[in-house]
Amino acid sequence: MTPAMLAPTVIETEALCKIYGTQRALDGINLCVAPGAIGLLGPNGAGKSTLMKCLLQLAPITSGSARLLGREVGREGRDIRKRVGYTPEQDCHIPGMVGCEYVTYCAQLCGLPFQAARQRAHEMLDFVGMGQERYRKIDTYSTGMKQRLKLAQAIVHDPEVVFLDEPTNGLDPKGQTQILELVSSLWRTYGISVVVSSHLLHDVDRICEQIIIIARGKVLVHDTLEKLKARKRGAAEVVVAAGQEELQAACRRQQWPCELLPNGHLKVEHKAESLNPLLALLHELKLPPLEVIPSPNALEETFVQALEMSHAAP
Amino acid sequence: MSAIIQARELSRWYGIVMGLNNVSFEMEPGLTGLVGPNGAGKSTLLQIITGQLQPSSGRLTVFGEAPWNNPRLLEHLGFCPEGEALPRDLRPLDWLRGLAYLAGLGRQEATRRSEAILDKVKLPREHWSKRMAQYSKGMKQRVKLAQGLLHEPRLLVLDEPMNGLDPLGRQEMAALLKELAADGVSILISSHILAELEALCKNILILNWGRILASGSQKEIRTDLKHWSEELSIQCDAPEKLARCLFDAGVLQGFDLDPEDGELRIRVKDAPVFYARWTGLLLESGVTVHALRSQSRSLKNIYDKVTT
Amino acid sequence: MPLHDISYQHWQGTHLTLWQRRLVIARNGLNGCLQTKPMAQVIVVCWGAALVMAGLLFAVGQLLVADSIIVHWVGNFNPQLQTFAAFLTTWLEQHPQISVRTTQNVLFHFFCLYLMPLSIFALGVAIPSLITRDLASNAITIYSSKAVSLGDYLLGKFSTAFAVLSLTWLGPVCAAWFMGNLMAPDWRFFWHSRLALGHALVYGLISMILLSLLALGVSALSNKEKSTPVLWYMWWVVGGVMAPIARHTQPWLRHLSFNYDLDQLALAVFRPAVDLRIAQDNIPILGQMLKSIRPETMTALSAPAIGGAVLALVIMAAAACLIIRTRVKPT
Repeated sequence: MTPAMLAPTVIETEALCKIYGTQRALDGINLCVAPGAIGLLGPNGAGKSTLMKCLLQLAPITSGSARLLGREVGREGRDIRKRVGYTPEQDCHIPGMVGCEYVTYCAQLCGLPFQAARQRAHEMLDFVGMGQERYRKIDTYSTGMKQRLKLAQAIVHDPEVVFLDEPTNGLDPKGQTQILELVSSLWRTYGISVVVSSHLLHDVDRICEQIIIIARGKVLVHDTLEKLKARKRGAAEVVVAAGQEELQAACRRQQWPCELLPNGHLKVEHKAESLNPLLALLHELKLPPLEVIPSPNALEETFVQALEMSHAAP
Repeated sequence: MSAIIQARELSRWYGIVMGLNNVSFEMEPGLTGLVGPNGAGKSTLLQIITGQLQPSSGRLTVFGEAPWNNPRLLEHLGFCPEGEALPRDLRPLDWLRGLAYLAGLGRQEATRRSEAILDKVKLPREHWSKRMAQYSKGMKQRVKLAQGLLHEPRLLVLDEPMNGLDPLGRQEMAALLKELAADGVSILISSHILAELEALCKNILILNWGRILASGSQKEIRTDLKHWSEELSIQCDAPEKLARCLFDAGVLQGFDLDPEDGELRIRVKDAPVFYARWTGLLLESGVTVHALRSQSRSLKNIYDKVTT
Repeated sequence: MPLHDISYQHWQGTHLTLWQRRLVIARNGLNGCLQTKPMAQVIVVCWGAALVMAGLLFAVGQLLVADSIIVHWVGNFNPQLQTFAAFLTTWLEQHPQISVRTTQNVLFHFFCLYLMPLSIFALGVAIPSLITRDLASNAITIYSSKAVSLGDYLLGKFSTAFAVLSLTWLGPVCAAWFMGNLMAPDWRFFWHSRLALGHALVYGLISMILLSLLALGVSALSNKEKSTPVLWYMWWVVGGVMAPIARHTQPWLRHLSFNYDLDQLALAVFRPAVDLRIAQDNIPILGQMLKSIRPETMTALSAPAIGGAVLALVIMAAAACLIIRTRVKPT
């Protein structure tokens, strides 16, 4: 169930610069991003939110060019936003309405006629799992419901790409899972690209296939998650029911660095391309593994490494 | 080891609304994580521990004493609440110094300690001269942590301490908390980010609907949950081959193949028998294994099972 | 029975045009304003006043017709008065420019001045729904991320304020004119009263535009929905109190009150001094009586401070635009 025509690239920027006073928030960003589930990472103040804001015309571009869905942002902003959705990080909504009226209004603002807007508003509220709360005023909503409402208003006009800024902020674990599953299904099942900006690397790991890391206004990394993880193969988190000390001793004998984590798991750097050598060791020790998770912190390590390199560079 | 916090049949009611209902647990020294859905009673529990609320019935002791109306005990407690309630027009050093004076320190000592604490929480010096209204969320979190540590408490209570921090900041804060725990400070962290608690805390408290559902180390809680479905997922280069091999060995009850992703999901008949042969079967099949995952091992799965 | 697919569906349809989207914003704003009880009550009062005005126009119309009901009614009290009234009415009927035009001009001037405070009150009620609440709930960010620009949003909000004023001011004025002339003795009344309507529309449109802009500026001053209407009313009240006092001390201070400036504008548009002079010079007997009006009053009626008023209004409008530009931004 994919839309009839997907633009070949979702985001294209060329020497994009954004300067706030004396600070270069974006310093010559060059990107060419294909449709997909994209994770946008970076330290605070790095420029990720600024990039999103420039693409959505929430902040004017200082120099360079940016194209969203193949169209120039500066010139065709309004038309582009008919096909773009956005969930801001902070609490945002239009006051004085109940949930379903709000989503209907948002659909109309994106150009849907009233009947279609009303129908789709309720369909999207069903999709995000909101029940009768849709008939209550938005001020009475809990954090979880507000996040769902934000997602509903972002997709009600059937966009081609949705920008999500910290979508799981303030949610409890169940809420986080539900929102992440919804966001993940947008690309995997319905072909709507998602750009997720988050500090929670585990969330990004779960749903994104492409990763962009921005720091100090520059793009440090732009690659698929698979390739990034492949570079970090060679470490694994091992869960055994008993015998951690035995395993640790054996790893030390193999000269594999080994660390006991607080959750009772063992982090082993086996330095191999696959888990087979580690499994062979476990077989030898007669220690059945309950779980062996490869490159558990691949994204985190990539992130830290990229930042260190950027600090080292002039 | 003696427990830092002991709760015995602790209850707290707000009129007819239940905040906590008959909660009993013991918190050991070290890092403990407190999890629960929104409205579970975590804030109520934290407020009772930090002496802001009195229990309606039962008792809660910290270091053997009740925290309510007990300034002497509160000297050993540090609390970093969730919101961003920092005085907007002050600079961090001024604020910390003021708090240090309140704690009874002299001027020089107060200044020395405030600066040392700000360095410890890694607030960059170039931001010290700005007023806190201009701070980002991450910087405010660091200042909050600083005020909690200023008087060198023995128990530190943190409510969503990593909120707003970028991944580096989270790493730094996690490292700092581990350092503090190694120094002998007990830390209670309330958070929604299970992955971080899993990596940081040995012990977990799970609350829901004002009741305590689980308390103890992650390993103990896992062992206690007996009715797991033994489901595994294996990522390898030839899932069909592995499936055939396991099927021939007669250990499978059912399986699901996903050849595109290279994933095989299996359900096993008899867990102890299966696990005894597991590594052998894997190596015999000759496939290259990339990942072995179980549906029921992470803190997230424990949480899901316990809170449904 | 086949199962229906109720998962996410894609949408292919024709989008609304830009003007239609702007209309959506204005309509939404107006709905929000009309939901409050004070607003509904004010609107009812304004249209009631329109009915009263229509009645007044009818009565005046009757006065200008020989052998009318009123002449007979007056005759019941005093036959001499009836003769005088009959003479006056005949004369007036023969000079419709003076009788219809002048009287309607004066009446509409007063009607506009009567509706002004009601409209200002209504705007104060509407102010939180304009920009204030949107600032409090960060709605500007949401609007900016939709297929409308900040300019469209402001245009929509401006139209909301303008629509409120149309309901409390423009509508009642036009309705009163139409109904009053409909009930007039003959169709010439429509023709001769066109000046009065013209003046009312010119004055009305200018003041509606200015008031809408000022209200928008005040509503953007703060994000607390209790503060901004208070600021609006305080400005109005303080200005109203200050104007008569400042006349003797610092006359330019009066221009800080938008109400005073708009009153000067009304005087400049309706020109009651001209009407008065026409009446003094032309209407027999009554004109002589009117000559006894003091010269200061005549000066006051000829909009002496119109230059300052226009300047003050332009400055206020510019300040409002500046406030809006600074405060209304996506976060």
